[in-house]
Amino acid sequence: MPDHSAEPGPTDAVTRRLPARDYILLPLVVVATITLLMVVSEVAARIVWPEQTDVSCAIGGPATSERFRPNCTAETKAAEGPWVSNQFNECGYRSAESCRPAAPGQLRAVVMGSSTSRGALVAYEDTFAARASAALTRLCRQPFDFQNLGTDWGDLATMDRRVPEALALKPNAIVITVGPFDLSHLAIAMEPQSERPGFTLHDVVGFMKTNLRIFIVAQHYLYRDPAAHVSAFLSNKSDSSSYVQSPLPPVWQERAELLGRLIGRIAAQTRPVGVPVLLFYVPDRAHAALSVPQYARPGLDPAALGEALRTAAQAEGAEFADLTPDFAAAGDFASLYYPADGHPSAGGHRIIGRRVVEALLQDPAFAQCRANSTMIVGQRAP
Amino acid sequence: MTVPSFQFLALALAAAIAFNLSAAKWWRAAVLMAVNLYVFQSFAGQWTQLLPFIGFLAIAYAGILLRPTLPWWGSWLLPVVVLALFVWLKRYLFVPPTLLLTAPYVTVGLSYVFFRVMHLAIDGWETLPRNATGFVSYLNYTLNFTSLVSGPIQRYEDYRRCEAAPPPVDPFVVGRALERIIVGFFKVYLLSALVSELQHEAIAALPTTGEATMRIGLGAVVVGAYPVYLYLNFSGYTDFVVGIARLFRIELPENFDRPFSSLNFIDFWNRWHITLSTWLKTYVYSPLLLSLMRRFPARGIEPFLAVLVYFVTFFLVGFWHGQTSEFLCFGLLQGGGVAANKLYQTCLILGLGRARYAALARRPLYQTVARGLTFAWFAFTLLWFWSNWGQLHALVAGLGWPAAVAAWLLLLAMATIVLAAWEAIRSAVLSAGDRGLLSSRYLRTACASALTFVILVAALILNAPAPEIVYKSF
Repeated sequence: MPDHSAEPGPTDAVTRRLPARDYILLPLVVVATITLLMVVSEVAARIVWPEQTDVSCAIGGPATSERFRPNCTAETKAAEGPWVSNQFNECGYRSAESCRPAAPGQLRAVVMGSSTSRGALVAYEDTFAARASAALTRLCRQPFDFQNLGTDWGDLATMDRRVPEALALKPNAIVITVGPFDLSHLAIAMEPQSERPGFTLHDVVGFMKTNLRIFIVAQHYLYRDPAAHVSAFLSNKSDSSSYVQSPLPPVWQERAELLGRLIGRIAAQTRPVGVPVLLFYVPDRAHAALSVPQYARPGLDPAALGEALRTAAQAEGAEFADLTPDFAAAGDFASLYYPADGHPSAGGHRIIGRRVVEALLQDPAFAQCRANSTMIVGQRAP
Repeated sequence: MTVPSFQFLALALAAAIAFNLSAAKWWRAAVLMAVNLYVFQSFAGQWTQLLPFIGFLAIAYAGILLRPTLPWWGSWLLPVVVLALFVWLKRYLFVPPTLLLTAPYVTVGLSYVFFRVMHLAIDGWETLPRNATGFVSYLNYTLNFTSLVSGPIQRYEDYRRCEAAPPPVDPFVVGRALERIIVGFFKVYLLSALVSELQHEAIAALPTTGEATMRIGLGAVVVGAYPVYLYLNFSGYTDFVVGIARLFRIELPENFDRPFSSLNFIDFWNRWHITLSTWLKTYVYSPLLLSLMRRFPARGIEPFLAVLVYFVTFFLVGFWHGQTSEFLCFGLLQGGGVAANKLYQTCLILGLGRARYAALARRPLYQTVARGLTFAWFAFTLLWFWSNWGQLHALVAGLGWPAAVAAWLLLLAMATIVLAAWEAIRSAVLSAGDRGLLSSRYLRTACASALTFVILVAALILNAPAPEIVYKSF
C-alpha cells in the first residue's frame, strides 16, 4: 500500500503536483463511492424497511375505476408501518361485517373516498370506520356497521357514480373523507388539461422521494421534527402546498369548488332518500402542524382551505367538519401520521373516528344514540 | 445570506475561481472586496440599514489613521471610542433608550468585526499601511466574508501575512479545503440538527413522563445534548469557513481543538472558541494581571491574583454572549468555573508540591473523571445560555430538585464513560492504525463523497436552509 500521507504541508511555498493518474482516479472514486452507497443503502433499506402499498385484491388501477375482489385478503405495509391485513367482504368492501341488506333496526353508514377512507396501511380494527362502528354499536345498543367503499385517489372524480351502489346498502349516512392530495388529483382527473407542466427537476425529486426506499427512510427520520417537515412543506414551490396561504390561492378555491360540485352530484342522489352526506377534511401532517402555535408561520392561514371546503360542501347540503384543529390539538404528530408516506396512522384514525362519531350523533336519525354519548371512541374495535 | 448554505458555497467557489485567475495583488484584493461587499449588503433589506455599521468602520479607520499623531492618551481614547460605539450599536441594556437609533439597521457580525477593529485600535494599527492599499486591506480584513458572520477572530498581522505572501493553492490544498467544507456542512446541516431534535424530544417528553428513572434519563439528555449540538453547530461553521477562506489563500485561525478532551475547565477554554478566549487573554487577562502584579508585588499572592483575573476574563467571555440576566449568570459561571479551577490547582500545588500535583494529574483515572467533570460543568453552565429563567424553572419543576441533581450526576457518569471510550478508541485508531491508509487521499475522497451524498439526500428532502449558526446572534 503506497503511503499517500507523505504529502507536503499545506503552507509549503512550493506548488505541488498531483500525480497524473489521480485526475482520473479521484473522480472515479467519487462516482464509485456515491454509486456504491446509493445501491447498498437502497438494497439495505428495501430489506429492513419492506413496503407493499398496492392492494393485490384490486381490480383495475388507480387511473381507472378501482374495485376489490370479493372475499379477498391482501397484505400491505407502509415502509414506516407494520404489515396490515386487508380483508374485503363478499361485496369487495373493506368491512368486517357482511354487505347483505341491513336487517330492520340495524344502523349502517357507508364510507366513500380514497385511501384514507379505506384505512390504507392501517390495521382494520384501527381504521376510523372500525372504531366508529364499535363505538356507535355500543352507544346505540344495536349493530351499527360501516360498509367501506373507499378505494384510491383515482376514483374520487367518479365517486358519484357509485352512489346507487352505496344506497342499495340502505345506509343511514354516507361518510366521505378528503385530503389535500385528493383535491389536487381531483382537479387533474376532472380537468386534465389544466395540469401538465412538463418534466421538471421537481418531478425527478418527487419520483425519488416516493420511489427510492432510502429517501423514504430518510424522510421518516428527518420529518420526525415537525418544524423540519413544515419547512420542507413550505419551501415546496409547486402549488401543492399553497393552500395554507392567505387568501386562499385561486387554484385551491377552484379545487374546493370542484369538490363542492362532486358533493352536489352525490347529495342530489342521496337527498330524495333522506341519507345525509358527511364530509371530513383530513389535513396533511405539515398542515396540521402549522395550526399549532409552536410551528405556525406569520402570514399563513391554515384554516383557509377548510373554510372554502365548508362553504362548498354546505352549499350542496352536506355536513362538513375540518379535522385540522383536532389533529393540531393532539400535538403528537409522530404518532398521527406516517411522516414520509403521509397517510394517517392508527393514531390519526382514532381522531377521525372520534369526529365521525360526534358528527353522526348530531344527526336526528341517531337521537337515541346521543343519549348514551358518554362513551369514548378511543378504544380499538374488538 | 445564510452561512453555511449551498447559495453561499456557490458564490464562494465562483469567487475563489475568479480570485485565483490572476496572481496580481490588485486583482485579488478587488475580487475579495467585491464578494465581501456583496455578502455584507445581503444582510440588509435597504442599503440605509448598513449606514451605522459603515459609520462604525469609518470612525474606527479614521482613528487608526490618526493614532500615530495622538499624544499618550490616544492609546486609551481610540479603544474607548470603539468600545462605546459598539455598545451603542449593540443596544446594551444600560444605554439610555433615548440615545439609541430607532430605525432598524444591520448588526450581523458586528461583534466579530468589533474584535478585529479593537485589536487594530490597540496594537494592530502599527502594521496597517497608511495608503490606499491599507484602506482596501482594512476593509477586506474587517469585512472578510468568510468570517464576518461568526468569526473566527483573526489578528491583522496574520491576515496581512496572507495578503503579502499568499500561501499556495494547489490540488492538495483544494482537496483539503473541499473536505473541510463538506465536513463542516455535514456537521451543521445534519448532525447538529439531529442532536438538537434529540434534545427537543427529551424536553417535550419530560412533562408526560411519570417514571423517576426515565425523568432522570431525559433530564441528562436535555442538559447533555446542548453542548454537543453547540459544538457541532459552531465547529461545523468554522470548518466550512476555514475551508472556503483557504481557497482565497487566507489561513483563518482555528476555533476548536477537541474541547471535550479537555482535562479541566481552563484547558477547555484553551480549546473552545479559541480565538475569542485568546483575544480576551491578550487584551484583558495579561494587561490586568500585569497591572495587579505591579500594584501588589508580593510573590505569594501572585497565584491568587491570577485566580481573580481569570474570573474577570472569563466572566467577560460569558457576558459577551448577551445582555440579559441569564447571560450575566452564564458569565459568572464561566468566570467562577475557571477561577475555581485555578484556585484548586494553586491550592494543590501549594499543598502537594508541583511534582506530586503533576503526577496526580497524569493518573488515568484522575484524567478520566476530570474530563467528564469538565463536560458536565460546561453543560450545566449552558443551561443559562440556551434557556431563560422561565424555561429553567419549568425544567426543574418538571424534574423535581432531587431528579435534577440525579440527572446531572448521571450526565457526569455518562460523560466520563463516553469520553473515556472515545479517547481510547481515538488513540487506538491513531496508534495501531495504518496512518498511511487513514490519510490516503483516495480514502478521504471516498469519505467526503459519502458525506456529500448524505448531505444531498437530506437537502433534497428537507428543501430548507441549514440551521442558523448559534453564534450569529452574538
